[in-house]
Amino acid sequence: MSPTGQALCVRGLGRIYDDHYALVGLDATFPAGTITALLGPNGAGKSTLMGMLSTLARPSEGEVTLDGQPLDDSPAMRGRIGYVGHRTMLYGPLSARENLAFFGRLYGVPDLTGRVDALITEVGLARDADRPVEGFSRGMAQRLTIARALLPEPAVLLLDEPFTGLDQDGLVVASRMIARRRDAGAAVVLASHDLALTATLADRALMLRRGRKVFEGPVEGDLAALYRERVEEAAA
Amino acid sequence: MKPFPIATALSAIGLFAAHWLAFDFVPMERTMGAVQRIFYFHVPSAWLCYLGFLMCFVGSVGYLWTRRSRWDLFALASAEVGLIFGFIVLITGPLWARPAWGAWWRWEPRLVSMALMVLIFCAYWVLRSYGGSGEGVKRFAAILGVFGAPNIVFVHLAVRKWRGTHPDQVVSRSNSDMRIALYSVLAILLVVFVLLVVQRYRIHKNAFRVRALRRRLSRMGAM
Amino acid sequence: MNAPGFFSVVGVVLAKDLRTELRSKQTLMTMAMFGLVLTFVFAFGFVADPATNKKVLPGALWASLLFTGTLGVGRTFAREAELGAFAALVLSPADRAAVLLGKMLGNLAMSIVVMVLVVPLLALMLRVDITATAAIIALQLLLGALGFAVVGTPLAVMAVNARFAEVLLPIVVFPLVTPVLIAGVKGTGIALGTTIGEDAWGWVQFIAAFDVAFGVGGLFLFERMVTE
Repeated sequence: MSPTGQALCVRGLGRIYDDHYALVGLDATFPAGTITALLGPNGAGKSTLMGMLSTLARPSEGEVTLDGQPLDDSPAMRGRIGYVGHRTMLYGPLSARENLAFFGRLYGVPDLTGRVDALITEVGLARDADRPVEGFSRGMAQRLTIARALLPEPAVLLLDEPFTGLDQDGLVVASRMIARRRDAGAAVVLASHDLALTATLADRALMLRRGRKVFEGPVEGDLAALYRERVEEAAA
Repeated sequence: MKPFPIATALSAIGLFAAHWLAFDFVPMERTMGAVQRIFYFHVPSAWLCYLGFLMCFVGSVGYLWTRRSRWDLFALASAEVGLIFGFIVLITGPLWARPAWGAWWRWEPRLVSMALMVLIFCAYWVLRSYGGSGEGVKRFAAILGVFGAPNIVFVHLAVRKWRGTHPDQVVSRSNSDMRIALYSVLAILLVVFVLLVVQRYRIHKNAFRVRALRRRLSRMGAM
Repeated sequence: MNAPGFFSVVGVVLAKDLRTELRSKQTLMTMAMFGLVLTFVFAFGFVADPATNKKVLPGALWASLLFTGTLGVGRTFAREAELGAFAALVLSPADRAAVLLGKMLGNLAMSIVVMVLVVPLLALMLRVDITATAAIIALQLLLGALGFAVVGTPLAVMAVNARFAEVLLPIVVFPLVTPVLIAGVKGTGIALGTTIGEDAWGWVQFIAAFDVAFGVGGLFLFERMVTE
């Protein structure tokens, strides 16, 4: 089943940590079949938003919907989300293949062996597939973690700094895979400090500053210039 | 008029009244003598200790379900005050037991479950004090608060398999003055208990706010 | 694509943990080694005349179970936390209670292996013949180890969020497993004939009741625990 046309929407979304808002009253849409760049300085609320979109964190206010359905942390919803976070989320003593096979079984991925092999080849880890992940470089582990997120063909793909540690070849592979998932109809959210690379991938952008939205819309022209105008100059 | 200082003043007067009730008002108990008077503090403290930990259980469940920090603060404040009353029980108990039983301690259901309960909530307190103040620690503590209460039931049942000698009947076979004194002291200590819980709750809430404000300030300074 | 059923998740998680452990042997080796060291500590600390040894054995057995078990639950979750894999586990559509049950069984398996080593050795060192009552003692320890896993595993999951987790975990877990400790020491004492009391079965039932209560409670609460 390849999901198509499922838009991710947030309405009045807010998250309170201790006594302050990390995110306030956010309204935004992440349409299906697009890559939305999530931009903002540190502490703008990007990871907070990612956490709530992933269902790992619950909203303090407002709601997230996927295809009109509230995005709760029910198994059915969780199964439609792919998430790459700051950490690789892998098991060090297990090999690349075993890591993917383990998560694949939890997601009930059909034709698992074939799919794992294909993904491992695609991310360029075929020669290291049976080595324990703890011996991998950060870049290799990052390739594997992208494969892990894509394994269940998620309708929503959340990428929080997915390019960490990747070499030039890795960047190319990762970008290609992310674009392909978008073309298959997934709503992709991409948060990265690499503005140049993000600009080549993103169709739309959502910019946050101090927990508030400062821009939402399609990317036309220079993303870096837009970012400077909306986020950095506003701060000055 | 602020209600808080008035309540504090009243409870301070109440505590003097409680001492008068326990040491002057009630007649001397015939068989046990003066040492029995400690029971007017020992027994209500035990009840309030249980109440504190029951409230911690409720607050922990509330936090796990709603994730509102007010439930977490309620659980924390209750556990702290419950712990204080637990210590009063564990100090006054042996003071009585030594002359009455000839031993500081006995392996008896109520003693062991009280001691264990205090131990569990000491762990709770250590966790809250040294484990950090993140959201994950609050969840950790909430699980402890939830697991703690039914655990006491098991401890109690376990020790009851060795038969006990706790003086159940001290008050019920005694005269009405004794009962009046016991319940009056209980009422006074209950007021103190509530006051302390409210106070701890407010202190934690303010500490919370100060931390948040300080963070906000440092962020603004960095810009 | 359908999420797998409850018991297949239990199996997948358990198999993953056992495979991880068989590969690194880190947890098992440290637990077994610690069990060995404890055996010597107890032997040197308590060995005396045969009658006293027999009285000391139950306490030594149950203390070993608790101490090595704490090491075990702490380690298995340190591994989940190491690269943040636990978040991926929680995000998967797999039933979270099943994930916890799989992890509990993994910890139980670890404790069983260690106790198979430690129990005969302790009996040997303290020169107590336990062959006549081996079955009931094994059952008591098995249920006790389950009780420990059932309480220790969910708390170990939460401990990864706290500072000083390795130190805090035993402080938090030991008081909570005291009912098991009491019942275990008494029950084993009765089995060995050093404690007078009702039959040892009463204590077996007691531990079983504890396992069921906290096992079901933990599985029920786990869903509530794992997300922020």
